[in-house]
Amino acid sequence: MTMDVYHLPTGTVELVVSPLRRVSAAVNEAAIPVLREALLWNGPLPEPPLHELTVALSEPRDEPAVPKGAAAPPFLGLILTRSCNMGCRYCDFDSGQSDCDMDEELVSQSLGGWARWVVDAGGRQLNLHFFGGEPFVRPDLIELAVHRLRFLGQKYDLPTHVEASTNGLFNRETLGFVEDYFDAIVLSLDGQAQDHNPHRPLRGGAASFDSVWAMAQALARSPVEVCVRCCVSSVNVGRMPQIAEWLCRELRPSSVTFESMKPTPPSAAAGLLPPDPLLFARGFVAARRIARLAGIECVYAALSDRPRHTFCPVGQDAFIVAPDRSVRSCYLRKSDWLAAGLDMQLGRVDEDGRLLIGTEAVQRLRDAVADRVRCRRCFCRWSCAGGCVVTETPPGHGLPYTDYCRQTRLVQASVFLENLDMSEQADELLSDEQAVARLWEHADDRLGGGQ
Amino acid sequence: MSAERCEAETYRAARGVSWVAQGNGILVVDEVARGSVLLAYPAAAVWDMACRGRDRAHIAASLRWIMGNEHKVVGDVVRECLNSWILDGLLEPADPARRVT
Repeated sequence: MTMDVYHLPTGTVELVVSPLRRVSAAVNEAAIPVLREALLWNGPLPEPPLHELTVALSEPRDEPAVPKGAAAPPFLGLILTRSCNMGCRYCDFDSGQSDCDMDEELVSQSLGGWARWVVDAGGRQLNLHFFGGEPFVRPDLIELAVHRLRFLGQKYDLPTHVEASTNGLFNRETLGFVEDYFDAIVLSLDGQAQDHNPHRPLRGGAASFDSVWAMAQALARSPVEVCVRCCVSSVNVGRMPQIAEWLCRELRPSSVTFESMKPTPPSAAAGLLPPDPLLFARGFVAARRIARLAGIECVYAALSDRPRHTFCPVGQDAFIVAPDRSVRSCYLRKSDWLAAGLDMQLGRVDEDGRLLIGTEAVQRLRDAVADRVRCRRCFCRWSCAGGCVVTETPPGHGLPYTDYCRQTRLVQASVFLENLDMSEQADELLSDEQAVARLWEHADDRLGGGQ
Repeated sequence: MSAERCEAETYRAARGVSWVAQGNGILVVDEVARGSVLLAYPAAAVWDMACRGRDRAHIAASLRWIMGNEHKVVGDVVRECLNSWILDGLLEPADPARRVT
């Protein structure tokens, strides 16, 4: 059992946080032993101003439970194809795979089996998300799936919600269908032409920005909710505030998500490097301020207001169906998770269209993500939740913080300070490399250490 | 007219007819006749595909997958939908010279 009280140095002040109690405070260094005495050793309640904080930190914790029992999928993901019409320099998804498209039968069966499952589980909405590859490479399957979903929504008297993750490289006819039927589009757009083109060329190397930007503008004029996902590398990390300002002014999406590039063999070959964690944190905090002023949500996937065990579909019972009929909770390639020592497969859609889901497999994944050793001592454990279990915290992962941890710790600490109306202190932290180093090297944030 | 030509026939919404997805159906508005009709599935899928220029064969093939195990009546559904909408003036052949009677 953890007491869920963390403290960490942020330069001029010490942050004390309890994510499970929704408590955060900035105190001076002298307050830490006082709090430790009161909370760990049942010492006397301190005098004000620490009295109120101590009482708040003594309240019961609201720890999210690890789900048990039958799977309750929040959405169905369909990987219609692993093919893509772009040649992104950091992507190795489409590396020589064959037979990588679904057929109509599997689309129909997947939706039918999942909808019945949702109804049996007492679900109240049918949420469909298209993943890739690039899903709009197969507009025929998109049309079929959307109509099948709506047919099932009518049959079971449930509302439907449709969204897709896309590169935005589709034609006007497909745009018309999206405008008519999609609720949300997650659009990969890595900034302006100078940011986007070095990352995301067309196959053959030609620039893609103009085409994608035209589609982004068309989507922004439509009723579809547009969420921009911006991949950040060493190329565009210094321009995150400018990218946020430009997107908020020119596109006004519902949200802008910044995520750091994961290195791959193609990215290394192209000379693209992941962003420096400090530069990313500075860029994100500045971008977030700009977006907030514009009333637009700025997202870093490792941040969360609600405590959680997982930051992605894994462990949340999501059903994602791949062209090989497997049902999994991760949209990465099977070879990726097998190499990490993980089995993300929950079951399969059999040839008769039955959705065969292993209860044990569902529970195995829930349990696998619920406790990651490296995260036990980190104040981000309930928000970042360990990040990607395949790339960041696979089985047997090491204890030392990674660059992803450092970046996340810095972003999270800065956001805590910002939320306490202490933007100046956040700026001081981000500009003081010694303070940053102390935060990164703070090996155990728990107030009582390993107690 | 041959069966092949019939299957290849394509359609479009008639002049003055607009439509919008609504709930899990489609609302078709005839601004000329000042009327509207809310299409439920599977008719909604037939309407959408017809208005996007899909031919009758494509519509019937797709509807089998859309309706899943309830596909035994697909041919009838497509034929009845298209014929009634044409009669009601909501839909028209994209190429009238190829009209199948």
